[in-house]
Amino acid sequence: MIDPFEGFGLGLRRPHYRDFLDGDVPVDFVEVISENFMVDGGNPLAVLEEVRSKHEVVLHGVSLSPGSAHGLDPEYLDRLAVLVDSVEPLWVSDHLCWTRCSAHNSHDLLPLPMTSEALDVVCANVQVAQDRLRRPILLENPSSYLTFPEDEMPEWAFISEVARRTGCCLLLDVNNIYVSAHNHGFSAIDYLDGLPLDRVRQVHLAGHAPGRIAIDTHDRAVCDGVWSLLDRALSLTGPVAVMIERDDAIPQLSELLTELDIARNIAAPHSRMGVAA
Amino acid sequence: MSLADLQSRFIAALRSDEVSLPEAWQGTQAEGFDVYRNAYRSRLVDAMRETFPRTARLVGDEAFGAAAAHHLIQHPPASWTLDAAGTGFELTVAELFPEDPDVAELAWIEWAMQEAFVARDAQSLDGLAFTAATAGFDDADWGDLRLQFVPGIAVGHVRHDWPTLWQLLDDDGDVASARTLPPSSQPQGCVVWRADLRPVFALVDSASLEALELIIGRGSYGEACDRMVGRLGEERALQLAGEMLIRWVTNGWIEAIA
Repeated sequence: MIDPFEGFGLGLRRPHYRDFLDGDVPVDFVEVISENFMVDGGNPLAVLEEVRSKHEVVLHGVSLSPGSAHGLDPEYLDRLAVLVDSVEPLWVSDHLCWTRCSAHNSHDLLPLPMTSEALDVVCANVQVAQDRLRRPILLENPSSYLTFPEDEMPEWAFISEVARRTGCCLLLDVNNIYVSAHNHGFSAIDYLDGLPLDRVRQVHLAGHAPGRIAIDTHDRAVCDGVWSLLDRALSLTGPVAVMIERDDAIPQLSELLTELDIARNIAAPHSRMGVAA
Repeated sequence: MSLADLQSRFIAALRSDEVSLPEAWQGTQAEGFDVYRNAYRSRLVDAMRETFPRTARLVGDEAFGAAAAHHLIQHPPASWTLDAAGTGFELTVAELFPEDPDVAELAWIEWAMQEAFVARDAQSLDGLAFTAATAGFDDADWGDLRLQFVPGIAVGHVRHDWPTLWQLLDDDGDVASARTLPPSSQPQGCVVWRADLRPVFALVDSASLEALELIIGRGSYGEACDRMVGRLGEERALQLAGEMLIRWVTNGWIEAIA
């Protein structure tokens, strides 16, 4: 099991490298996209090494593809293991999704049918990843734009079973719940209540583009509905690391820090440390 | 449908409008599928634009988008890293823009710079270290000398004035002038490498290019000198060979004496 870490962080993105290298950014941890640092050398690793000397780091991947029927890519896993050994992150996470089939990689977080076959595949792949990385991973609930007629169970039941069978922990993306609930017409509260929230170690917040199909764009501020859902989630989880993701239309760091203060205020009454970090 | 079949079908449909969705996915599923299909295309083309910004400016945004889409159809991404989507793009644009060889040259430079950017870190030999390593060399030692170049170094053939074009194709550059700049009269070499943490390039003359290609390919300094003698005559060749070696060391291209 992964030890909880209570704090507030941001995703490390290129426009903010200088802020993190030169200044003392008031965050408790930073999250980096694993694949951006799974390289042989050069500036990315130099930046990460310096940031790591100031902040706790968590690794967040987008290419593990635990839902691939063809299994995990061993070269990918080897590269990730090298990075993990070098960075010694608080934890490693990726998404409940698939990105590749036997020959092609979509580079997108594609939806899984919620079937017992897919459940077996995900559990087997998560186990392979955890064995190779010698640690439990965090699995993030995705946002999705379609469900399959073949579905046999709701997503929260699927995730709960993966956690039960593999011992993995969870990265709770509150915006993803909000987006998927809107797109598929389920209750976000049912989703939260259906998860083993004691296994949540990290929470993601982000903005989305509203519409008949809401899109998880990470290009704007967190909306009120997601803040409300965060409040409820934090009342049910243990101590967690909360962060904001912004991947497009990235504003000044100060704007994200102000937004992170909203998360701190919402979290304060629920903090296990008495005072929000 | 098995999960493997579903995933193969899903990816095939992402890649091509010609592949129909299963009947059971029609309706709201099809609408949701379009979100993934659009995201797939735009994400990959955006990644190509990020890797080849100057190539995109040189050919124009629309032509670049079409070339990138063509490349991705011909060479669908297979690697876990999105950065690999541009592998071989210089060959694609060489086919698509046969009358404009500068496009393929530039795509090659930008690709080589991306590769150099994340190449393995290495300490190059400086002048003092190189002098110490070759102290006491006799003529035979110099002839047998083989060099290990720094990781990420790449050498290509070009016919255009890339230092000038590079500036013209910058964000706020004069792209119209870049499109009309004539090629050089002489073929040249372009060397891409990483200086500290920044990828850079420099042009070299054709004799140096030939020597570099030979030595990077594990040939000896003596073999390179022999070729230069054949090309330039002994006196001129030996003078240039010495200057060339000094330049390689000064530029930080040599990691070790092999």
